Amino acid sequence: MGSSKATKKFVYVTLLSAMAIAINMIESAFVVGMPFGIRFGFANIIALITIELFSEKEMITVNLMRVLIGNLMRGTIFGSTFWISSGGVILSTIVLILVRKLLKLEIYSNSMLCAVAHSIGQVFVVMFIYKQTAMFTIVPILLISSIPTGILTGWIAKEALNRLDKEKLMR
Amino acid sequence: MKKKDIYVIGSILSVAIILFAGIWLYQNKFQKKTEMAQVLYSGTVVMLEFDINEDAIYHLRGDVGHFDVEVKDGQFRMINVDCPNHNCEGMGWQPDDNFYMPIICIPNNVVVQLKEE
Repeated sequence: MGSSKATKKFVYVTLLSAMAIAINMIESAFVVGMPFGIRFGFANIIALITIELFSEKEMITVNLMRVLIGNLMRGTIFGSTFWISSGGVILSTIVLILVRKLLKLEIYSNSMLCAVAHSIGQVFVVMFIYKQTAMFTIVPILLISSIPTGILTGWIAKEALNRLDKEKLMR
Repeated sequence: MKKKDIYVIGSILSVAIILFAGIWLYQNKFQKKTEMAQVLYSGTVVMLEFDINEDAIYHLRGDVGHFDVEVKDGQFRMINVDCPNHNCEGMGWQPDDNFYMPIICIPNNVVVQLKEE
């Protein structure tokens, strides 16, 4: 039965990655013109669900797939957009793992801190690529916007997790 | 939501406020005011230099298409940008009365900024 479980897990991770990519692309297509480039970060819902359902390893896979395949599909791979989103995703992945391990907080806090890390990661890559230290001005604005967007994505992830039964999924 | 979540919100807000205050202080007290601005391509190549006190609309091209830089009353903004996400238009007029932020259009690979001394 071991290999069947591994196959099941593999399929779920693939499905979660596909969902993360789809959500990411839909969000970037329909949520436009927000001031200061603020985003909801709905794709983060999938990361939060994955880490709760499986483990850190699966969440890292889903997040990396989201950036790699998402950018490949948009045709921006290895361009500046790719590095900026990688910066955000890598920092938010690290922060999510650390916060979950060390602080043991609720999903809302995880989600907010993840959003904060995502914005800061992106800003630092922008500051580095375009050599724009003045870009740092945007950080406090993004920090404040992370609170409502983090609560929203955390709430959606929580509602989804309440409806998902891990035992049933892996049976 | 539990008590811990409120603490997290509180700490994010306090960090944001401290940063706001620090940036405001730095930009208003220590930074030299400059009247010249420039449009940079790829972070280094100067596409255009302009005086922010001369009202004008400059038509330029970036990696994905055209964009306009409107200059009015000592401020500039990006308009009619031919890109999918329009984040740079969302940055509004710069420099703002309290805060200055360079306008970066990532798809077009351009930055509109005040010229550094």
